[in-house]
Amino acid sequence: MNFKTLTGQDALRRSLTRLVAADRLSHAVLLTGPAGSGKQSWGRALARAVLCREPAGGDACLKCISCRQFGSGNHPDYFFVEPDGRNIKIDQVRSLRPAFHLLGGKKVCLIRQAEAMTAEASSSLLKVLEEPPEGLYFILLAEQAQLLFETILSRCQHYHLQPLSRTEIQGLLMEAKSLSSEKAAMLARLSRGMPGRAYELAEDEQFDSRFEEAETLALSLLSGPDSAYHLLSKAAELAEREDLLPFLDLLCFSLRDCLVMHYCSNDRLLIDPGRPALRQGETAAEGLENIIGLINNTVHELTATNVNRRLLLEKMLILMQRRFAACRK
Amino acid sequence: MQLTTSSSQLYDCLEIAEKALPVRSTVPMINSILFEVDEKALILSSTNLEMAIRVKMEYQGSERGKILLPPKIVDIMRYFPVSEVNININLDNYRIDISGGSAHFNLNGADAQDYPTAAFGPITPEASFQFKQERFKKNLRSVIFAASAEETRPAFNGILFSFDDQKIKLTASDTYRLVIKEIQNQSWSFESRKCLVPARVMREFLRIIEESDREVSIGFDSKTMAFNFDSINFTSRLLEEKYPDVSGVIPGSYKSRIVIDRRMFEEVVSRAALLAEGKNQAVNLVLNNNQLEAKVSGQEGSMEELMPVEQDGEDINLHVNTRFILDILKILEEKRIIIDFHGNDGPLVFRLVDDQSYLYLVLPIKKMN
Repeated sequence: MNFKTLTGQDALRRSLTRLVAADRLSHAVLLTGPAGSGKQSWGRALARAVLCREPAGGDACLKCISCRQFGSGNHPDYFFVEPDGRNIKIDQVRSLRPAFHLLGGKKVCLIRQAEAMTAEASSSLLKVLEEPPEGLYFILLAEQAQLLFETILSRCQHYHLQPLSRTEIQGLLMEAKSLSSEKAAMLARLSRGMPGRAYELAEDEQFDSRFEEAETLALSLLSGPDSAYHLLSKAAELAEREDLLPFLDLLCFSLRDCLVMHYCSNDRLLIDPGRPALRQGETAAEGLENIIGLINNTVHELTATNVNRRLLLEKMLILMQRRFAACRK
Repeated sequence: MQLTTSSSQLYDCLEIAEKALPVRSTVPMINSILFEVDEKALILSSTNLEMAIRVKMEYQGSERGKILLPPKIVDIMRYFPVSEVNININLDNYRIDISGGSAHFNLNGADAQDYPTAAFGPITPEASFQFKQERFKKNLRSVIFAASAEETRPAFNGILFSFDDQKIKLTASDTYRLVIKEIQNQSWSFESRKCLVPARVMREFLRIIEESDREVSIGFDSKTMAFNFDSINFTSRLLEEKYPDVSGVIPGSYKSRIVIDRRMFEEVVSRAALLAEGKNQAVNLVLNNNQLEAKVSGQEGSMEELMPVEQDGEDINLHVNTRFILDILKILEEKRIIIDFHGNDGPLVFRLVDDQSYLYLVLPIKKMN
């Protein structure tokens, strides 16, 4: 991949190619953006452009020996660092330092999840950033820049990746994953503008069945009270799911479609306009909002705390049913 | 591509080339050995990106080509049953057939097209000079031990080659000690230039070069230094040269000077090191009345031993790291050496009796209470 073949981020592409072409790129570049926003693709494209022997207009040519070596993972002057377990440890940074100081052509070090560096690793990196050897470029990727050392941040040229438009992602999916236009459009709407997320959804073989299940669950909750036994067994079943988080996500989206229909009855805003089952407007909008908030809270507790999943889901389902009942009155 | 060669000779060359293979590299290609055949020779190359080795050898065959061989080839040749080996390489699917006697190996190679050959030496050296291998080895050994192995200050991981007119000056230091060796030759005329060569690479070099009176030819350009000897081409990449100016560290005149029997001093300090403790491994040296006393006292016990010396100047009482003293004493071959003291807080400077070209400076340890 080079800049040209990547989708979107026109402003970023313009400034990076201009800097590379003029050989004025900062020795440290920080790319930030949410998970799946394309940080790694852009970071690699930048590394490739910097290392390219015959760059055209600040972009990698993809043909020279340097680009070929990069493509096959054999570039001798490209260093890649990513968390080893939870963190990027000091030894990972330290082991590279001798190579940084060797004379030669340009060198690029790409650090993925830079915010996962331990304090010691950050200090070690800072040492190099303070007196950068000539021709060495750092590309740091991070979801949360504020977790980096202030002293590292201040030495980086900072770029933020923008979410792609729905049509851009739809086009990407149709081309790269050869999806139908409808399916691509739906995944594009679900992806929140993150190409990485869209690819993940497209590669997920269980996506369709999960979507179906989420909608069935939403419908059954909407359609009226269920026996307590049913609810509890449903919760137990959910707790066993490995894909619980994406499932809850989809559940949220189903309810969101309901909410959209309530407010404006506009098909174009729906994620999945092909499923009219949820449109019967029996539930009040406030109730739906309330329930979506409840699911979001559950997701937060699942990821941030060490809570018992089954109990949490039982609580969620019981509360959901109660609120549905309340807003039907 | 088909060729025949001697298996033991191939093993000898592979064993040398193996020395530049990385322990583990994130660049998959350089974990292999490059196997090249041209009209004249079979060339084996390897690199860990810091250094590169090329070894040439003879073979019988007529085709040309190159391929990457897995490092297993070294052991295969080590245990090869017969003295002649036939190698058949299919450059279309990168399969390698190795056969001889009753043994037959089939290996998977890889395409060598994008192998990073940039590390292999200056194509047009800016300057070059020659040495007897044995003499160069000796000079290098006399400085390399002082280079730092810690990676906090990159410059001190290198040996500084300073070229100036008819002189080459070798400098190594780890900030606690400093060694300088000057070599002069009437036939040289260098432009003033400095090269910082990684000490780690030079240690590998010392393992390969022999103590022979054949020549080694050394050349450098702005980024690499290359050593050509016998059928071997050994290249080191240079470090970015930010070596501090050390000339101010060497004191002009001594406060006291001793001449001491080297072997005796070495033996005494070795005994003192048995009880020396802690990170500093310190020995207390007391100079007084033409006698140098080595004293250690620690938790395990204490020792002291007197040595007769020729003293010129004031008395001295200081602590030094035993390892720093032993490092130098082991390398020297002279019978007697000079040590200059510069007060109880100043450095010790080791010199040779009738050779001004070498000095070794050690900082004493701050007094412990």
